[in-house]
Amino acid sequence: MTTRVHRLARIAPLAECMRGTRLATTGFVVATQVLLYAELWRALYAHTASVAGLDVRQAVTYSTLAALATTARTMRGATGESVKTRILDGSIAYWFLRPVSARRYRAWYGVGEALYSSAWVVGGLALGLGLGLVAPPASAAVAAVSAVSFGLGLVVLYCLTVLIDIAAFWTVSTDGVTRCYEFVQSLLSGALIPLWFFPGWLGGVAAGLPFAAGVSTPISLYAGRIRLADAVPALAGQAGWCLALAMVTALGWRRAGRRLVVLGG
Amino acid sequence: MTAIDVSEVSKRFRGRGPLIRRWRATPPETVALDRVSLGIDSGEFVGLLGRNGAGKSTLIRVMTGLMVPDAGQVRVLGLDPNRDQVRNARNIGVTFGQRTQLWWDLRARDSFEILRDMHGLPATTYAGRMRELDDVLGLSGFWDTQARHLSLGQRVRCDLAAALLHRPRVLFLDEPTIGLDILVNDQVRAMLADLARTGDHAIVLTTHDVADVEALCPRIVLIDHGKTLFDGTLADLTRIGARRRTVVVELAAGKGPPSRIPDARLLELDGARATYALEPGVSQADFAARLLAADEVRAIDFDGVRLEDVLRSIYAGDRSLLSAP
Amino acid sequence: MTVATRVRRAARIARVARVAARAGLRERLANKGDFALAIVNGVTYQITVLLFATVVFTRFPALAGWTVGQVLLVSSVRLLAHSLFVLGFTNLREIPYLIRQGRFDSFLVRPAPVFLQVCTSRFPLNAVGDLAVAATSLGVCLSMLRWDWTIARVCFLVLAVVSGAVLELALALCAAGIVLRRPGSEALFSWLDTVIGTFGNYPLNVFPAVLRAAFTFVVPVAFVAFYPVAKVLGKAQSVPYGPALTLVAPVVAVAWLGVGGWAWRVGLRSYRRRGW
Repeated sequence: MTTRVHRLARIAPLAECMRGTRLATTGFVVATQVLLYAELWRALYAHTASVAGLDVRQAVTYSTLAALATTARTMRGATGESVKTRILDGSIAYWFLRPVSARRYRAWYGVGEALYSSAWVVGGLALGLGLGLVAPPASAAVAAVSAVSFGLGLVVLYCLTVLIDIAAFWTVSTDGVTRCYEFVQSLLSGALIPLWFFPGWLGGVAAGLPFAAGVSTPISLYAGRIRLADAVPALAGQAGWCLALAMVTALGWRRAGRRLVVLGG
Repeated sequence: MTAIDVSEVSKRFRGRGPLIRRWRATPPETVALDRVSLGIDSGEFVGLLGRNGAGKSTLIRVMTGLMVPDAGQVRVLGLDPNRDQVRNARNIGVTFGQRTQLWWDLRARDSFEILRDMHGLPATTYAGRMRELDDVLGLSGFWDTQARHLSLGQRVRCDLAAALLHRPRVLFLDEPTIGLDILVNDQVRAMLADLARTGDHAIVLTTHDVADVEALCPRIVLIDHGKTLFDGTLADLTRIGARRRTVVVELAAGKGPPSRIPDARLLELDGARATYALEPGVSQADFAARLLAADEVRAIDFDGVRLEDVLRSIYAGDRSLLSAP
Repeated sequence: MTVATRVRRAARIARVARVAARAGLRERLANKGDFALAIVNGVTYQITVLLFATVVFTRFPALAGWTVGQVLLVSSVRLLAHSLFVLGFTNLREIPYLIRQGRFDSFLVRPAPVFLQVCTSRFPLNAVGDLAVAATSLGVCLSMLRWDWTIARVCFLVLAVVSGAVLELALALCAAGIVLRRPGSEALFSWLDTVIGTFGNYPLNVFPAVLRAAFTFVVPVAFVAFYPVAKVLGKAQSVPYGPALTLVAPVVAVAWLGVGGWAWRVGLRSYRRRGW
């Protein structure tokens, strides 16, 4: 008997597609987000010719894509599979009673989730390109490198999300942790404000933390803020974070398993 | 062959006081399990009974590996259910009646397919199992419905199917028949009885529905305050209860109660109705024959000995029944 | 219904709300970590907001002729309104979770308004953080503006904050109504949050015509803070669509509250009928 765990990646997209309303809402949110943010940044950049080495079009591209990438990830509602929701409805025990460990299950579910949200990012990008709000990548090489970087960024963000989610084993509600994480992430990943606008010390902090590897790096590559020549160290940095965070996450799951034993499921 | 082996298992919980008080007083400890030992063989169908808070759920959690006991050890088909969680999961099926393992947004059938993939069941095996389960549980009527739209009874049936899909050799059923109507309940019972009859399943059932236990479980384990109070056959337990057999006799008009009947004690006299307690060892037939011979009665009503009554008196603190020989 | 029974009913509801809120607060305080995090969140959020403002004002000096202090007043009023809303009504966002846990269904059968039970289902500790941010930012901007305080100005500002909060409530009620009627649309809550949070901070003048119209007539983001603040700052003449709009924020808020209340009732009815 071989398990076909990879098929667990179907769960998240399937669940989203079961509800027409959800698809419609997500489409609405993604589309309005692209339009609104592009307009906002166009308005802000209107009187500034060049910002930190980017022209207006690149800067708007960066900011719009950053908003898009963040929104597409937060589309899961109350029904997404997470430790938090499972603890709330009391069915977390089943995660530990199946021949696929909770960690592997959550990871495959996360793959599906990432693919699904990526589809929306691609859709939003296509919309932005079609309306001329977002600049196309400078070359095929840039497109390829930023796609790879985007993939690595998804892994980084997955690990961070799971670490926060696992915290639900210790705290009664993870709302506080989640909110805190959302702020820190949106700030230090460059999703809210491009990182190069930060004062020096905070820029240093952001560069030393994994959040930028999740959002800022791929979009900077796409918009040309990181030049193609510097792509290799950027990708290596992301890969390093993936590895480090994967190890921390594995450790987190082990501790969580022990914690569950105390709580008794 | 021993399927579940619980030996000398103890578990205590430390209560968590409110924020301020936690520093001052040591929080109270409750003993959930106190050196419980239990061996269950393949082919056995055991009813685990006890009041709320008696330690039933803790025992189930320990046996399924969700909880590690403070002392003692548990083996399920030779595996430590906590340390070998993943391998053990192939051998066991679990339902917690109050909690569903179905995916909320998906159709019930999608959930079964996910479990099929997790257990790696071949397509033909899966199709066969689904057909069997459908026959008994009537799933096909609603397996295309999203889990969140299922009624309680439908959901419970799907959860049972989800637990049985991989034909586990050890089954833990925690309140499995909650919310089922009488007909479905009968079908579920019949299916569980069939499973038990195959002889290679060990089934542990906890429930508050005593009728389920009476219908299904030849063996009963009674837990109270974390200790095994009784471990034996259903027949034994009812025989113990039978020490309290009562008979209601309706007397013929104008007659007083029979002055003296051997082997029975008059408990209560209410107009023309008299209640007698039979002495142990007296058969109902002998008693009836004696009464009828005296031609003084119009009707005799033997109270059957119901498990519910036995449990009620035990829960109410009447331990004398158990300690008596 | 006579006036007396209405009053009695309102008093009873107020009592229920008070008791429920106190129980919710006690429950939240019981968890040390949660409480600490609520405060940490306030601080983090504060840094985010202030940093964002600093960046915007140092990098983009020309915000349609508004000075830093003036723009900051728009954000401060919005933040204050938002924290008022959070304090009272943020639990509307939790409805999908309440439904999932089955708590929402039990609200339906209890003898108190469902809206009230939802709002008191959990004490919104994070409002503490939000209030802290709002107060700090207001303090900073008032020190920059060096104002003559008049009673009229103070009253107008208070009115602006209250109507901003009411507007947010109205929009959240609309979203809640949609969520009750069409489960799966809960992303609307965070969408509302981001749209108001991001676009309510700027003078409407900086946006192109489409967005000006959208934020005035479709989703009334500009009434949450921008229009009334423009009046207080004496900039009524420069606002899009004429100075009259700077005075009508309370009216707009009440009108939208009507819409929100209708959406909520419709949503609740259709939820009950479907029965889940």
